[in-house]
Amino acid sequence: MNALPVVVVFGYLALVLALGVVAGRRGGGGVTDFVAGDRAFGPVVMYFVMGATIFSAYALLGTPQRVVARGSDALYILAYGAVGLVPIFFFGAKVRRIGARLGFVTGAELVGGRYCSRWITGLMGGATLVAFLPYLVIQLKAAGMVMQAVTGWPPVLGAFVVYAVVTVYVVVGGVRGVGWTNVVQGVAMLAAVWGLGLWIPTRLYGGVTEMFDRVVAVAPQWLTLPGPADVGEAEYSSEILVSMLGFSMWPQVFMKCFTARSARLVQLSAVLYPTFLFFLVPLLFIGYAAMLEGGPADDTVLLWILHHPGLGDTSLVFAFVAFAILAASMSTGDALLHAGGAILVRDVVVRGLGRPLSDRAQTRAMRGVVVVLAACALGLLSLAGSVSVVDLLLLAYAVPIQFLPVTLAALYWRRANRVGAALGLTAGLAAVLVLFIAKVAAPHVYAVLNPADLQIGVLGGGVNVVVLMLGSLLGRPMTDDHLRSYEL
Amino acid sequence: MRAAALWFACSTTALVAPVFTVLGNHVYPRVFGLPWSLVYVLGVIALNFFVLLGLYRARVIDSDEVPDSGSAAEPEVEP
Repeated sequence: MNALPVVVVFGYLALVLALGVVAGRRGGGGVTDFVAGDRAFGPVVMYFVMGATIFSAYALLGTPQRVVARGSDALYILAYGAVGLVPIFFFGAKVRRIGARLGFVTGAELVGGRYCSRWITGLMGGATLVAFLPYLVIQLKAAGMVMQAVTGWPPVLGAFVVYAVVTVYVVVGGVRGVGWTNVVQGVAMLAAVWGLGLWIPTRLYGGVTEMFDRVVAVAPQWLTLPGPADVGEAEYSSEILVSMLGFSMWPQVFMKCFTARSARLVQLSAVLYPTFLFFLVPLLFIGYAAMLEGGPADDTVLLWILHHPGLGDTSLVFAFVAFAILAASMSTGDALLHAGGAILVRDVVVRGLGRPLSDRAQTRAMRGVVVVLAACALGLLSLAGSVSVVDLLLLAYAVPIQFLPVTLAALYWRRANRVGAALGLTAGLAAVLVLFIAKVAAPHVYAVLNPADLQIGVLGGGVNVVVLMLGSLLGRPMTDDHLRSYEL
Repeated sequence: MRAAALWFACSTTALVAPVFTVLGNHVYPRVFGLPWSLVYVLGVIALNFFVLLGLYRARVIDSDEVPDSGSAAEPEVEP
């Protein structure tokens, strides 16, 4: 075991733990403080919360891996990010205003409130938790992998240690703990990734240009579609469209609209977000370097390339890569745990099941749920051999897309009503579930149901839109007084 | 508002087939040594950033700040 990475990693864990706990000492301490930071986040924290929450360990480990396996198909990650948060620029200010006026702290509360429906809030909350778990397991998996490389511990033990720290600062600090630590984690990721992305090509080839000269000479097919994996135009385009449609609807992202100090600041966060995308560029460079050196086409490739003999002694670099991967894992994992706690208590229990709880009881329950969710994710990680997380991710990515029609209709279509929204959302989620089960358990049935093998989220979304529109047009519109409170 | 929405619809179109495959899916011309496919996507991101910044500064899209105040009333919700 090399001492330097161990010191860097444990020093970093101690720093974020202290920061998260100190952050929790500020603010009112009620539900609005725990979930939305008393709606007082400034521009710096908002910038890093948006960026670091979205860029997970999956992006850090998966981007170079995708270059090695599929070539320029990896550009889809940049492409969907280019427009993914634009919807928040359009509706974020309105969401922030309505939330402040009516006391909402989650997206499902706002949508359910607009349609006067506990069913919608509860269903969105429940579906979100199903989507969160596999996503959370991936963050834990990355943390365990890094801790194994740094300390030699088994991955589950390493993930336990890292997520014990995350759980403590989320429980104590709430969204302030998440926000403050995200600033440190965001800066760490940007610095480490840019440093590494320029250093590796320079060290191995003399520079980024020289590295791409080599790619052009020996493997030009890695630079354009269809690439080595023969990715079709339709497949590439549908990956972008599906990810883009669900991007702003991920509840842990949408909820951040409620945390901003002002409605304008929500828009500013969407404006500045594309600058965070440039963080992915050096990861593409690392992917191309690994491809040229014959690196593995799996998520160990980032750690693999650090052992390349041409790089010399990499113990310092390795320490900062471990630090960056942990930062990426934790900055997404903390947002998922925090949002999961808030959603289960506010959306499912209080609104969905109609169980009134005092402000203090809600905050206490959210803290308990954070601990339980972390334990469940750790349990799933230890079963990872028998449960396919990749299969579960298929379901996870299809869920937020189902929230898009009801949310946009809630904010912009006066005619949208409770019956249409409830039926549309239910039909969309049911279609996704049926297709997912068919794909995993009965592939021959799935081939009949989805002969073109379109993304299940898009199919569910289509069903959702049709039913929402029919139900709304055939049913009674909501009252003018009610619609006015939603700025319609 | 409509022009802004149209712009983002167009920029989305520019990133997917067939527009991307015709205009962006090439190695050349290389810019600062980077392949054109990467430069093209980064260019769309940069353009979107400047358009968003312009819209933000011009307060074209929903820049109302006023109705924030007031009590946080519980919404009326039916089962």
